[in-house]
Amino acid sequence: MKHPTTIQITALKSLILAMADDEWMMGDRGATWLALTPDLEEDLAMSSISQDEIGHAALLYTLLEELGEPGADTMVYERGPENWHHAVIAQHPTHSWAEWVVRRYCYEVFDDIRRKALARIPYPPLIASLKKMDAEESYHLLHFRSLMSMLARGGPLSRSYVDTAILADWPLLADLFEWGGRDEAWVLWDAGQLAPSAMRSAFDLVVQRDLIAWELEWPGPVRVADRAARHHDNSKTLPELLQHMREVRHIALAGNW
Amino acid sequence: MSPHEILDTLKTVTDPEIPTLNIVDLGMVVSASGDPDIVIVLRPTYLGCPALDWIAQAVRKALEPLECQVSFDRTQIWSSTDMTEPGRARLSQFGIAPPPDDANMVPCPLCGSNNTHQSSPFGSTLCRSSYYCQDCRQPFETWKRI
Repeated sequence: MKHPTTIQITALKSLILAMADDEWMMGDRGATWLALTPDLEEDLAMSSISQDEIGHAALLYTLLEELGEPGADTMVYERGPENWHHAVIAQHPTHSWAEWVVRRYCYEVFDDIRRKALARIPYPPLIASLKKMDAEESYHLLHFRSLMSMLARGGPLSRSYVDTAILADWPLLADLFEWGGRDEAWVLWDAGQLAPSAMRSAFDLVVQRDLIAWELEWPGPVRVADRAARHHDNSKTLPELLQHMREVRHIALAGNW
Repeated sequence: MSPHEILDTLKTVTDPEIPTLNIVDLGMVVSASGDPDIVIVLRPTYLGCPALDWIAQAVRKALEPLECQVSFDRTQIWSSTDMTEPGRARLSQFGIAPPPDDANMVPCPLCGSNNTHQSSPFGSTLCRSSYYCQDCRQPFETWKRI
């Protein structure tokens, strides 16, 4: 992409922003589990994984800055709720450890598919960033797979927690696959894998196979998102979440953190 | 200042948590030039590493009173194989096993025994995994392979 067109730059920005916001939210939500996970090893794992996600978000915000957007600090600490474009699942409150494990497992499977699809876009800074992330992310998917398998095989009680969590999260997965860009962009890039329908099928295939292997019930294909996907203009919970997330930083906005 | 002299100075800057391991042996230095301005490009081991700003600051300090420009190129891929042999030896000396070829075959950095197992792929920092030695009965950490 030597001389990207305006359509391509706009599309590229919405793709990167959606991913940056997902990674930020997942990292931030993951950090709230610290000292609350079932054991010490898991606390260490969640601290590393959350730090990774926040590092990835920071890199993606830097890519956006190179494309003319404000810097990472402004994006995270000053942006209004209407301009965040994470998937709703990334900010949804978690009611149990099993729900968090199911959510993260689904997210990691999706994120893996998304990174591979995004790597088709001929924008060298993005390709290099994805490659760097791949090395770190490989540990995440492995980890949540092993937690899923443990919970699924941990006896009737833990299994019932997973079953409940899967049913609770399934309807919330839909807008992960949407990104708000225009369809012609991925045709221009020969990146058909980015089409929401293609990402959904790839996701359904992997998750169905895994759940069957763990003898869990697969609730069927993920539903198609509605037009409000990844838009939070009317969210009642996001303003409060952002305020909570920014609380410490806002003690000294001008300070050097 | 010649690139060689700059690198020598950079060898005095160490990982903030591993005082035996310098950033050159760690493989973090991408380029260093001093003609006429000193420009140093580093790469992060892990993108989310909270020590990056601290390291950039330490580099500036090490080169004082000369001025230098330090930046991180986050798209330069660092791999655990970029660590030098002396770096691996110093890591081991400090009590952390260097990045292994096979995560299931890590000799204990404390007693040398091969009778060890991984207790978690994650550790006290982003770059480490947790292990246990069955012979000296000590937990230890291994630098993750990425």
